[in-house]
Amino acid sequence: MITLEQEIFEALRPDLPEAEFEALALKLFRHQAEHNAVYRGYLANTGVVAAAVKDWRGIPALPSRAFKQYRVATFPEGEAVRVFRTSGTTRAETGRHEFKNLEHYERAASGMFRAALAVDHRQVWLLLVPPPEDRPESSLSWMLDSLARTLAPGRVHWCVDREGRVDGGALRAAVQRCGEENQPVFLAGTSLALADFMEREDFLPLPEGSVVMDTGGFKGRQREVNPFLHYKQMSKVFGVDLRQIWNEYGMTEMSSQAYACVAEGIHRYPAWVRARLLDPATGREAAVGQRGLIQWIDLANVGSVLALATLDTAIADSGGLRMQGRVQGADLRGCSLAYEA
Amino acid sequence: MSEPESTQQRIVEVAAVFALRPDLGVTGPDSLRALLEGELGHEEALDRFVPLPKGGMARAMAPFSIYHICAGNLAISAETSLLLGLLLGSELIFKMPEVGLPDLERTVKGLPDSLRGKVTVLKQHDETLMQDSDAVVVFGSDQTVREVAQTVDWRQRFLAYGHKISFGYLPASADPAVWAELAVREILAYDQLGCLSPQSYLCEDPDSVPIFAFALAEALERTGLTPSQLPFEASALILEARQRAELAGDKVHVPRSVVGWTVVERKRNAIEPGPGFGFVEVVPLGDWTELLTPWLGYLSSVGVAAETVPVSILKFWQACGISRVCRMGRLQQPPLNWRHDGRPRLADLVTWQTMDPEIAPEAG
Repeated sequence: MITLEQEIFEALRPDLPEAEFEALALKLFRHQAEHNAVYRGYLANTGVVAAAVKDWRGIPALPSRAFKQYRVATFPEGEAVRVFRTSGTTRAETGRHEFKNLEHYERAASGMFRAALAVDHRQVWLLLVPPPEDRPESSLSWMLDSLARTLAPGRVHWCVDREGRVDGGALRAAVQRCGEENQPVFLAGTSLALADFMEREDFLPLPEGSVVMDTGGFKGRQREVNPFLHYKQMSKVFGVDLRQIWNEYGMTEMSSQAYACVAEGIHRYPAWVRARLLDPATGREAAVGQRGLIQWIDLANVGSVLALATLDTAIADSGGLRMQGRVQGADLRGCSLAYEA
Repeated sequence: MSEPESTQQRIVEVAAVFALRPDLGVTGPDSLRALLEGELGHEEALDRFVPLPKGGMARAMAPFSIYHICAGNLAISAETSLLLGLLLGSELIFKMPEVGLPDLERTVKGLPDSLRGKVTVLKQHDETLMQDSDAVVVFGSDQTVREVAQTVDWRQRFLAYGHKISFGYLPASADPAVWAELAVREILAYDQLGCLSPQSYLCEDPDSVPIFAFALAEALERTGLTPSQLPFEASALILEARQRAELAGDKVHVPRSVVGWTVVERKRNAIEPGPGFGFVEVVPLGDWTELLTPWLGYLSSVGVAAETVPVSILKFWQACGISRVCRMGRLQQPPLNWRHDGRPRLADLVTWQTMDPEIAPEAG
């Protein structure tokens, strides 16, 4: 007999039909409503009866901050094979996402990455994040390592020092070597790491056919960074067209990712994921063209919770999301604590 | 010639402008005279040498110019500064927040010429003007205050008003239903974004928590008031705070229309300030130390649902930095002689010239 986990695993494919998504989302929701104690308590406190939910749009989203306060899992403590932790922003508390297995995560990450980016077996991977052995709790390190193992075996350089800072010398040397060998690269790192590197480096052209990907935005950064100028500078410094620059949207609390080619600016997510945009004033879905809070339904979140409420905002556009940033003041709470001069 | 020559003339002019503003505590010229006397010891201390209680004389000198950096959440703080600055006769510069302060700008525009000429409103920060000012007053977040503090010269008088929270306290003897009616007005005033806005109501009797929360929710609903045109961010933070409370297993009361006020019935002895705009929590009061310790440095005022407070509690509150105690319902109506963050508002700005008892001023 096929288990729910196996059913979900099979569903993590680009051609997943709507009806199958709907059926699996409801099935997984009911499973998690029963086996995830935190989610069960949340549903009870908000008066939601799982059996009464008949549409994936009606699945209540658990606030992502739950991962910072509680153990959000459907399986017993001690059975996790991996724990990813959120990096944290301005607050000391960090969240944890436990995984009973990583097969769903790996399949979800790989499926969407391959579908979205023009990265194949040609590129040499230059990664501006610490390798997973140095940061075993970083989901980004693990994801890039997992992708690299299948897409670029033996062609990966982790261009960071022991403290996890970008090793500019190693990156420059690797780019130069690839240039000499006319070998395209896949350069990936956090938005902060790339911005910091570009503050020190004016021009480091990548070989033709190269792709650049950043992720994470500018959470916790003191000065404001204009994304348009950031990508324009990236294009100039690395000598790549905006069509070759991608942004990954991901969060530790999710198992799937969304990608946007920055020339287009629309994040697209896989067939096993849905995004619901909520009008915070009414608690209902935002009107077409209106900015809303993103709530994700991610089938790959099989061992925790599939429906997540975030404080990230977006406008729906052409089947994807035009990201509008995180709610200001989300990390500063209370009274005038929420307000800046 | 437009500048009032004496404090008395300024009192009359300022009282005329602010007489229709009971929210600022001005009831007429006498209230301003009392303020000056209370803070400076004599209502004419800015004009002439006045005798000191134990001999000698002293004259107060107001700053020639005061540079204000205003916060975007509350116009009344800046308006109060305007009132006090005009009373002192100083040149006043107000740097507006990005969002502007329409109420303050309206008040400034409505000033008579004699006072209007004393006030400059800036859209952009002017570092030179700030450096040239005798005093700098800043309202804002910790970060804003810290940044400004780094640029102020030690010779300048520097007053900072940062983040603060206030709360209500219901002793076991208080009737929750009666006090809930009174609390509503202080919750909704100024969109609950000021330092005097109550964030929490602490019930000494845990059985009062659901009663007070329910009564508060009913009273808030009866007002029929909903914040109009809430910014997206504010709505999002309200939604998130409601979700957080539900996640913690707390009962959340919201209006029938969903949009508007929120009352959270907490289960534990902890203060968790909300995002403003009518968001309050009702907390079962346990150990005071445990409750207030996380908020040391951020506590402002307490509204009490009683006519008396035990001295032992008052002393503890004072040790925690609580600078004002009032009746519940009156948190947002401090008297004119209120000491903001426990400090005198005029006396902190002036500089004194004193004369020892053996010497006296002479005409000429």
